Amino acid sequence: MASYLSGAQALVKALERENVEVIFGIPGGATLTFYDALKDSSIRHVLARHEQSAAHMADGYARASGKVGVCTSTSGPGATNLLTGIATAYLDSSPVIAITGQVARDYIGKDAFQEIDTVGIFTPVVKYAFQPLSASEIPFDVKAAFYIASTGRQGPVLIDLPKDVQAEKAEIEFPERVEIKGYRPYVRPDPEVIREAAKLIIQSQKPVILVGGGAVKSEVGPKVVELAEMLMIPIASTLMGKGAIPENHFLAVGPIGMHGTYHANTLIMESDLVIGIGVRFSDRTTMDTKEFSKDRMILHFDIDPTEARKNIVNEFPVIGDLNESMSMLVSEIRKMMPYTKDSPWYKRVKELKEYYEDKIFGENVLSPFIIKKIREILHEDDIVTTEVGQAQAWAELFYKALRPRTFITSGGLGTMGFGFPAAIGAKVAKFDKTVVDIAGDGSFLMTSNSLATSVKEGIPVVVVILDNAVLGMIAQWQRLVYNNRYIASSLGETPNFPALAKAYGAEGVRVNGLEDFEKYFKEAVKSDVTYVIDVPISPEENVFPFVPAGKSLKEMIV
Amino acid sequence: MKRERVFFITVADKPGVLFKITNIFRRRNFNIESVTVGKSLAKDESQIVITINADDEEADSFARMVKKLIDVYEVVEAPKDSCYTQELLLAKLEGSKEELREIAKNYGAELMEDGSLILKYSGESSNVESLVKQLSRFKIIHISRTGITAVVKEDGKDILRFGR
Repeated sequence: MASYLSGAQALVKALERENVEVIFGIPGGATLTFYDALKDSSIRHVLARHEQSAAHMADGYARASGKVGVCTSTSGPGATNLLTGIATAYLDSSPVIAITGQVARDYIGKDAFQEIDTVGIFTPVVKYAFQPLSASEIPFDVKAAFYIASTGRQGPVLIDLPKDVQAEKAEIEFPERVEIKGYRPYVRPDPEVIREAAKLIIQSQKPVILVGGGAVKSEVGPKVVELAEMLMIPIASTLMGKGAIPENHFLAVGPIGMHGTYHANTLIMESDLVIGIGVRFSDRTTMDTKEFSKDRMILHFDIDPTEARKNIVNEFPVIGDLNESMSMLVSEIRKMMPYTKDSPWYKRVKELKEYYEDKIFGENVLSPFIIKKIREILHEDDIVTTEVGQAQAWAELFYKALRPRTFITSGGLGTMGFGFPAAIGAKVAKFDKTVVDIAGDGSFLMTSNSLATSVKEGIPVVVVILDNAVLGMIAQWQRLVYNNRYIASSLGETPNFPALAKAYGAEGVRVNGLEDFEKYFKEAVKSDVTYVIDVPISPEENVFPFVPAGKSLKEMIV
Repeated sequence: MKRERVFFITVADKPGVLFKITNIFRRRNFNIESVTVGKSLAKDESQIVITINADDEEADSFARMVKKLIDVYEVVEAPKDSCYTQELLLAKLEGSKEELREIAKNYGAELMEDGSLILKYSGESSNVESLVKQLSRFKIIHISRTGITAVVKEDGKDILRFGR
């Protein structure tokens, strides 16, 4: 059924047809017509204060809900500001649609006011980029954008829409479904390959399962747990894999990597087989890649064929839909070995886990206790986001994620400033849950103007700032790797964070020690405005364990 | 082992596709030795033929990364010695017509006259190279080479195929 609509109306209608409930963005000259059409829609608009934050909000919304997040900016600087947020979503395979305004068709490529080659700039960090050049193309492009973003290995998609195409009127038809030649997101695992994989697992004496972001997104956790329990295999995770399985499970050993747990890093280096599930073996996870794969087989389950042998050259890849792969694998192994086994390996797992699980390395540290307190108070389906740096690493080590999509962090790009706007987006998706941003003072300042958004739009979140008045991870490296030669890592005792929060109409408090923190955190969780808790910590606090870059996972500093 | 590779890439015939493909090689600092593009038989499709110097792992990884692009329908990768390759040369020259006729005859090239002299030759790249050397004693107005196009030999070895 065709209707006579403007391009902007067609865009809004197409978004409604994808059940979009919220758009995060900032209007500008090249999106005024789009916003004008949005005024007649029931879609909620959340006004960001910087486009980067708009993208992180959409990303946080997507990660918390599993739905596609939508953000928008104007052309030129709006688009370039959005870029960091979209690259963040790309590196962590998050389904986000970015709608950017563009100058009118006749002005494209002529350095017009606020014109930039948005498609050219975004192409390397999106799954696909659309630039509809007539109003009638919009419905197909929007439908295709949602399909591409949300299927296969998920990721962001750009729709760059010239101003005059938004205004142009045409007979518009809305497709029920789209066929995209060259895009086959669903990959059925090869049963023969699954049988081989099952054999490798059965033959292994010391296997470790490693779950990643793909296991969170595909919600394959229960099947992974079934596999693990059948053979008593410990389950480690990557940073992105936190929450794929409940981290309080008796076989869970926590994350591996630069800031992995002592027992997980030790077990993986003692293992004879790593069963990677929805991971990409990033350098922060494996550290020295050669050492990582030297004395063990690496089995690699993933949906994306380009991940096979990308980082671990001598691995055994199993490409296909993770849920299907795990189902096939579990039934294959049950055929081979219909009982659980109690092995020396499991005894070793138990021994290491018991000794190291609650161990906190380093003296006079407060941060790990703050994180553990947050876990103690929050419900299992409440959500934690993190900034990037020391606070992120402490959260990785000491916050046990119990459900998928409850631990949201910028793992791939490592974008400082991600946590707070992502928390706002997550809160919009899960309004009845408490959402806490575990922040450092350095990261929080990068997007703290989102306080305005959270207060004005009534989206209350809790921000816990582990405030050491330094760029903590930089200071830690300068201390431990660069022989105490500090430069440019001191931030000083500024700003006054509670005062900053209050200036925006949020709540803010500076606490003194763990007990004081507990008191205010419980209050913050109940607050109906955003609540910033400033927790002063020593600038000397280190995150341990710490594997310096270039070393193997065995070489932990504690 | 590094060797010359030919990628046959069937793509959607629309703007921006070549940019996305070459960007994959650019990101990992590979120099594209040659690229040719032409319409393919199917409607709305083109074929891009790219040659680069890469080892087995790199070639495999590039082939899969290129196939992952949504506008790419098929990627076939073959070592250059598993392919029959050709390149076209057009050279616009001034100088002795007799000498040029002699060279053209030796190479099986064609000499056309259009006010100036235009030599047209197609052959393997090594022959094109040697012909270009022969031409250095003439006054060269303009030389254009197309780069390599190719088909896989019937008994070609180590062929990778992704898509379709």
